[in-house]
Amino acid sequence: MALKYAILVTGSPYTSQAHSSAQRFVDACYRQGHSVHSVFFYGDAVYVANELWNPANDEQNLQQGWSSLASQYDLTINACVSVANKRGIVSQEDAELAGLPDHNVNADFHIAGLGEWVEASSHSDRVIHFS
Amino acid sequence: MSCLHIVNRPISEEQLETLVASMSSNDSLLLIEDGCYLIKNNVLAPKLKAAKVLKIDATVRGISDTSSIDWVPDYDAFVALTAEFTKTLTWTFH
Amino acid sequence: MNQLYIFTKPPYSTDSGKEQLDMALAAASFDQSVGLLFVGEGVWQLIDDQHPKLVGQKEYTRLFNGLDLYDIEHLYVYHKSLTHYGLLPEQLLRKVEILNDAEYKNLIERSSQVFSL
Repeated sequence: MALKYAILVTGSPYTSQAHSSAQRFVDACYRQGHSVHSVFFYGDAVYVANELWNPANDEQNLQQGWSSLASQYDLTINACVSVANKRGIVSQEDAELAGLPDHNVNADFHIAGLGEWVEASSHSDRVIHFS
Repeated sequence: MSCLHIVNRPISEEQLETLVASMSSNDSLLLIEDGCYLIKNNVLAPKLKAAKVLKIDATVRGISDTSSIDWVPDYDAFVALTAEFTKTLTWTFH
Repeated sequence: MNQLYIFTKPPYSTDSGKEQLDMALAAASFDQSVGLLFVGEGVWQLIDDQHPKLVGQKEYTRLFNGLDLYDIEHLYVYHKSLTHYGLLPEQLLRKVEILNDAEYKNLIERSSQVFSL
């Protein structure tokens, strides 16, 4: 039976394996004939949405990994607005509202409220959390 | 409702006891990422209950064991396993 | 949906307790049935007599006292986590339901979604 998954990621990109594991899990979901409602980044996971990421060429690029999955599967990847803002991950709209000099959210990521996560988790058959 | 409990980091004896006490008879425990090291922990390994191990994460870490480990080979099998339980719970103690 | 949020960490050294509470409040405001469970070091979230202002932090744990406003009525503590730290229910900042082993297992079993952030 095909299931719909909601994915929660809270681990920091560089002090956890959460992003790498979640990306492999999402890919496997589609290979198995399931689908993913959306991915929600919360806590330190939101750092992955900073468009100024500039890792060395020979390092795994976790941000690129999410962008690729988003385009390959038409997958929505959401970063929580409140935890992102306090960590300096700010969309153009929020930067203008707060009078900040710049914004830095990668265009493949959506800035979303907790309500979108509540909606995703309550409309999915399974919720998986990578921390 | 059945639950797949997931552990992704080393945990203390008290934390493991708290986790195991929460498991119902239909539940299983899956060790992934740094949680795989628990099977090599001589103090805690005997206390694991209904434990499975994500083999790809264990192999990454140089953990190989020929004893009777209930391996989950890869992410395809991980996804298939989550479909067998009505819910999952990733225990985050740190 | 019947959701349970498990607090496993103490407050202040990380923001995860506060952020998990924010998530629980959001879920409750979208009409999910929400319960909070405190285990292990998470029981220290509920201790009375906290003074986070001494290090410039907000005492967000006071919110645990006002959860009725958000329709969160059930706060649970696993009995062994209290005894592990030699804590008594009267040292907590509010009344909670203390769960014995069977009740603890049953709570996880009957929840449709369970989180520990």
